Amino acid sequence: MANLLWSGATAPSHQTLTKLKNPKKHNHYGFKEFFQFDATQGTIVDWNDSQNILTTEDFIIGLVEGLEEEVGDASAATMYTIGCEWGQKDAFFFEKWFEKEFDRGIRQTNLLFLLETWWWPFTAQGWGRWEIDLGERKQGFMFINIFDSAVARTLGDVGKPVCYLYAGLFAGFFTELVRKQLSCIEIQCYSMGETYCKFLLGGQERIDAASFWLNEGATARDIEKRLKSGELR
Amino acid sequence: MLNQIQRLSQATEGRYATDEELSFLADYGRSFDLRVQTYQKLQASEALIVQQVQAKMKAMDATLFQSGQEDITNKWKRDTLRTFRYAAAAMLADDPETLRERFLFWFQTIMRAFGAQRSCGVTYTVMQEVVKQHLIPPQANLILPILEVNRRMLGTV
Amino acid sequence: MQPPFDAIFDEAEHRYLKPDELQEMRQYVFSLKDRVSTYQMIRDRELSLMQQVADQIQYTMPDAELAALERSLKNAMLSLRYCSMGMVLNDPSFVQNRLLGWLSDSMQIHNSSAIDRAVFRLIVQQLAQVLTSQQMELFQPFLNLAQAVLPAPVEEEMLTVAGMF
Repeated sequence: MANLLWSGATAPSHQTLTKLKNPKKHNHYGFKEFFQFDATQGTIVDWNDSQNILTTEDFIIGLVEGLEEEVGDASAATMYTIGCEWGQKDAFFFEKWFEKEFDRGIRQTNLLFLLETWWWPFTAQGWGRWEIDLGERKQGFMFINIFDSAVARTLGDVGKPVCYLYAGLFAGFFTELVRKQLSCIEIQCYSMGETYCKFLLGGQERIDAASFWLNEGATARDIEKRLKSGELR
Repeated sequence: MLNQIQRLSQATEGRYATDEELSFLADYGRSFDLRVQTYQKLQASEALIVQQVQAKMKAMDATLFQSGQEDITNKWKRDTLRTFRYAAAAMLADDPETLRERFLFWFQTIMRAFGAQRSCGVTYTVMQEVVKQHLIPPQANLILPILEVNRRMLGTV
Repeated sequence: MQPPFDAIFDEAEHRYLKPDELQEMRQYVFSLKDRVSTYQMIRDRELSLMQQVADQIQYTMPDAELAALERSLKNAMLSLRYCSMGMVLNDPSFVQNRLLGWLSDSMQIHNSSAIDRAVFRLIVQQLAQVLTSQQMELFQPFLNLAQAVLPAPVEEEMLTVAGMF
């Protein structure tokens, strides 16, 4: 009986000339710099040694509609949960590559700079650009705007928010980052005719309140106003 | 040129390019010597230019080099020099698009994170004035539009 | 050699290009005129050139399957297009990435080495009549890239008594 020796695939590693010449280069987001395309291996490895795949809008549609077909209304919660797990794992991944690139712990770093550095690879990958509003962080909540959400732009105007994956991602990541249980809800979406998507990130109480108001037909602006004035129901 | 070459090779996938699609190559060829001249002049004057920009800005408003209590002059010098060199490269390559893609889009987020837009706005306005004094008009006409791209991307809120 | 313009931004924040790097760029930029005119020549003569090749290949390989001939000719035409663009850009990796990968696979799958080689030979002959020797010199290195992936001709061993069983 033959013994099969399986040598597991070695972890992918980004080895473009640019990175080899200058591994600590911070602006490495040009398309051909950030992504290393290896036609013989069939891999796309990004600067942080993460493997990527290229997908089309059909993929996103298939994912969303396929899930809806499988679990119906639970698809939103499912996407959110997936996002949370992703965000949590990404926080660990991020901490490692950030500390390697900047020779500094994430907790000793200017917060805004840290967050921009976290999000920029997402932008490079096509998830959209963002804007964070930490104005109310002392009150325990913040807003995140996403421009060109990949999901919303793909699905177009369908009359309801669709960026559950993003909401989960933010909840998972920030929960891990600040070590407090945080939730996130989308209060405004491109798929409802708006020009960008807006997310509220905060403790469960606030998210529940926002969810309640949303169901009652409140706009993002209403919700923002109520939260800023301290309302919780 | 990098960006235009990329677009040429993608647009003409599987076919030949028309004379019009190829014309930018000849245009670049004609401007090349002037670009190299300008590039080398900028290289030779970069320290002086940055110094003069710093002096002018300090005279305008010393708080431009303060971030709260912190003196950020050295940080400003590093960032300005880096951006200046990228601008020179973009001028040589006649490629503001690659400048945007490989540097400015990302650097813009960093400047925003540190609230440095006002400082950048002033820096690249003043730099345009200073640079004009170091170059003859044909040379200046090559680099000023690039510095203006910097100003718009980094210096506006 | 790295494509001429790629290097400009690579180290931009650390240093300016050295004089020999600028000189290399200058060489390329001044060669652009000849590269573009060679490209235009190949482009403008493609139709008549390929027609000649098509006529001659049918004459020299009368038993070849028509579909195989057509495929070979199409591939050759595409090769010309990519090789000539590669020459304009002075970028062998352009030819490698856009053409050679799938071309060599295609030729191997269809087992058409005899036809491919014959077509290629005819193209070179035709080009030599259309291009000046200077233009040919410019284009040849890129044409050779495509030639290098032509599968080796299958040698038929002569069967002898020694090799019978």
